[in-house]
Amino acid sequence: MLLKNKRIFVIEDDAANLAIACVFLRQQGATVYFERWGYETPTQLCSLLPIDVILLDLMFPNNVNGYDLFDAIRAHPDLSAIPIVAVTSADPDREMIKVRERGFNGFISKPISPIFPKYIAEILNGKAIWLGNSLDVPN
Amino acid sequence: MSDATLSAIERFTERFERITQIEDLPEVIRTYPGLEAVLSVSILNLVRHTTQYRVDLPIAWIDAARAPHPLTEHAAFQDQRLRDLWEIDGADPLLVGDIEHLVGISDRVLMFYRYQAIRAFALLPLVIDEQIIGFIHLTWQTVQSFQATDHRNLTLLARQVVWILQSLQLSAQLQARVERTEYLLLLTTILSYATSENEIVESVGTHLARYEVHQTILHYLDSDDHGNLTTITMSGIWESVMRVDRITRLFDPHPIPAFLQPYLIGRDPIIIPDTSATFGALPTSVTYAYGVNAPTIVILPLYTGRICQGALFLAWKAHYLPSQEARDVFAALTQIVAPVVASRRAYLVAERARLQSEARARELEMVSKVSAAASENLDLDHLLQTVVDLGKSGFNLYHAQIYLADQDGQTLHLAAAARDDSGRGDSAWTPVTLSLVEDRSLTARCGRERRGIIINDVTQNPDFQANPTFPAIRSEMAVPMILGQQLIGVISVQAREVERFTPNILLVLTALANEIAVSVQNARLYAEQLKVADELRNLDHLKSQFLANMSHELRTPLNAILNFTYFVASGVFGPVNEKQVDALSKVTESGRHLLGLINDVLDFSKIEAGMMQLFLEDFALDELLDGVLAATQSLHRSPQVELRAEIAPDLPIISADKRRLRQILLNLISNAIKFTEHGTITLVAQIADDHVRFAVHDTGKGIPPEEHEAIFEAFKQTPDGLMRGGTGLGLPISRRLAEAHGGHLWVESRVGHGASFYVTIPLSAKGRN
Repeated sequence: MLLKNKRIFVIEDDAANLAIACVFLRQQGATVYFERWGYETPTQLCSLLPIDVILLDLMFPNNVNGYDLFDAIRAHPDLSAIPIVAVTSADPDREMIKVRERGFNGFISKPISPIFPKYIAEILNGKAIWLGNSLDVPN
Repeated sequence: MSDATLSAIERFTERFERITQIEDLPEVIRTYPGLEAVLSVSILNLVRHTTQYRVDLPIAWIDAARAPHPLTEHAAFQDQRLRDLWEIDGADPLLVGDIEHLVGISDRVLMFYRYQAIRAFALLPLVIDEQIIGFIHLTWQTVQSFQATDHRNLTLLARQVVWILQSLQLSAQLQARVERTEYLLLLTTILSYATSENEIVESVGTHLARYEVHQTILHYLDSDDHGNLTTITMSGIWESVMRVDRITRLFDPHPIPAFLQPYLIGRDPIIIPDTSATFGALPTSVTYAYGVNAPTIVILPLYTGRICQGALFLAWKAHYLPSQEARDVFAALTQIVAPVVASRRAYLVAERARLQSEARARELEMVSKVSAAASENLDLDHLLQTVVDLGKSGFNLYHAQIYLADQDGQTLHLAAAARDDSGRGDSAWTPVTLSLVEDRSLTARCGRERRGIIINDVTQNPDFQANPTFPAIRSEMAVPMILGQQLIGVISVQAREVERFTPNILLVLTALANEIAVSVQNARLYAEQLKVADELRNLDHLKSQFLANMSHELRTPLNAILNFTYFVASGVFGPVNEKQVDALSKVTESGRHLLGLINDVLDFSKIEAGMMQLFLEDFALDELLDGVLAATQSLHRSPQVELRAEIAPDLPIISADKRRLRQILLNLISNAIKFTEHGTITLVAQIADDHVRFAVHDTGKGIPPEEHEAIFEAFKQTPDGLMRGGTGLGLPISRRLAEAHGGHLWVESRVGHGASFYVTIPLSAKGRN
């Protein structure tokens, strides 16, 4: 149980992707909260404290992006210390550099794999994870 | 006072000594109105003891033709009678005691005496230098008996009168000489202070007023060469006796009438007493220049040493015969004026040279400034504004504009303008567009005719359209900007002065205009390039956005496919049998393969679009290689193939894109596995200088030399490769990824001896596209 007693908040719009993440994380003992993106997200997060890590998709409908939400969370005094990881199917070549510059604690490219909880655990141990390709798929 | 002036005065006085007393006498007598009375008293005193009768004293001057001229107001003496009397002749006194007994006297003379009741007379010649200048006529009403003593006394009387006259004459001469010397001295002094041609002419004219000179015109030789007087630099018109009414402008080209030029060959003053007799009717241009239809003119050449400096022209309104005295004054005048003119000319030549060189320097400076501004400026508006600003201040202009022609060559559009008071261009006061076809302005005409045009006096140009905002325009110039056959535009400039623009300035501006035309073209091309680049950037952005979206859209379903398959296969949703697991593993395998293909296509697209970016981080090479080797274990390979690794110990930390290095190595190893039936595949890693070198050796059948490069080209999969599936993009992508790190990827192989792929990566990659 890599994530026993860990409280994880997942911000994801796609129901299938959310389900997958939840399955992997709960299999490892984590408590998972999830929400679609919204302006009230920081407030909601405050009500759920303590939270060990936030998993944030970068691409949402209507040209909204995860960076704004990241900024809002980081700007909140009660939430600023929570590690945030980008979990996204956005192009890693484009986004990974931006994510690192912005101050995220890691980047995990979708599709994710069963090793996914291991990476989250590493992040919770303070390691930065930069994963442009979560699968080793040489052709 | 200069030596030249002193010698001029000396010469003048010498000349004065030679004036014949005879010619001068009438002036002397006229100067002393009481002379006759004085003489009468003297003579009466002398003759009282010899006669009791009234004495008449008619004094006459006899000219060279012996024509008598009455010198006094005495009217009784008629010319013809005197002539007749004079026929009696003789230098000695003629004493006639009784006219009734005079032999040979004409009846008319006899009648004359009888009429006046004269019975006796004495005619006493006045002789100077053996020349009779007149006589004293004494008459008696009674018969006289003249003795030898009377003869002697009367001769003495005549001599005494001559002495009186001579002393009077000398005194008058002396006084005149003093006067002339004084005023010539004054003139010399005044001239020495003259700082302009006006002052020279005014001084000379004032001093010539007493000779009724109507105009004084001073001609300068235009240049230093000693040739003909072809042009003048100054012309003063002496309208009235005491003041200059009109002085024509300095440097006004005002040629000396051609017919006068032959008279300027000599150094002596030339007197043309009757111009119409000498030249016929004077041309209008001449009478205009001289102000009147001058019947008499005097030309006074001005010489210093052997150099002709110019000439003074004097003109009279009416026929005038200068007296000897006047001529001498004219001659003296030339000696005084010539050095003044010489120094003034030298000054003017130097001044003009200075002004020219200054103007030239200003022009050159301006040209170089404009050229520099034009060549370094790629922003069209800024370029043109700089040009008009610099041009206006450099040429000291009133107003300057640049119009640009539109593409079809029908219209000129104002592009930039500068004026001297408000400085900046403002379309409110300048026409914004001009029709090249029909507009009558100089600008449009210049563009139409494609040549530089100067209008030196806009008031003389019927096409000139006065602009109320530019009341001061007096002259203008326009030059076309031409590039090849194309009219780029027109530079148009205006000045406050007439005749501001010389052919020289036109040449300078034309050269400049052509240079600006090139710059305008460059600026336009540059703007076009910027636009294209902008469009390309937009296109790139679109492409990049498209790729990003594609990446997202293609990966998202795969996340579901792969992971739900995994969940089912791993029993998350309930028990599954072996067949189901096998089927699900095929789904997973296909999904992973599909993801690989998608990644390849996206990578290749990004490389082609120049958008490949490396994600550089520091990591241990050991860690990378462990991961690669672990991953290769899961690859399907022939059981006869052995995977080996020869990793050098103590590999350092590298700064590179970990994911991409892993991609390269896995690609090389998986290729090797694909093409190797049996034998070994060896991964080698070692450090060489500042880079790490990987090698993947296989014992496959090798690659023929002609395919050594082809395998790195996209879409050139070998037939063998095609058979084994894949996109064929793996090697091209790997090579570009290595190169993006500043490294290399190459193959060494012989058919039948396996193949070796080498990759070098700098330990500190800078990351480039």
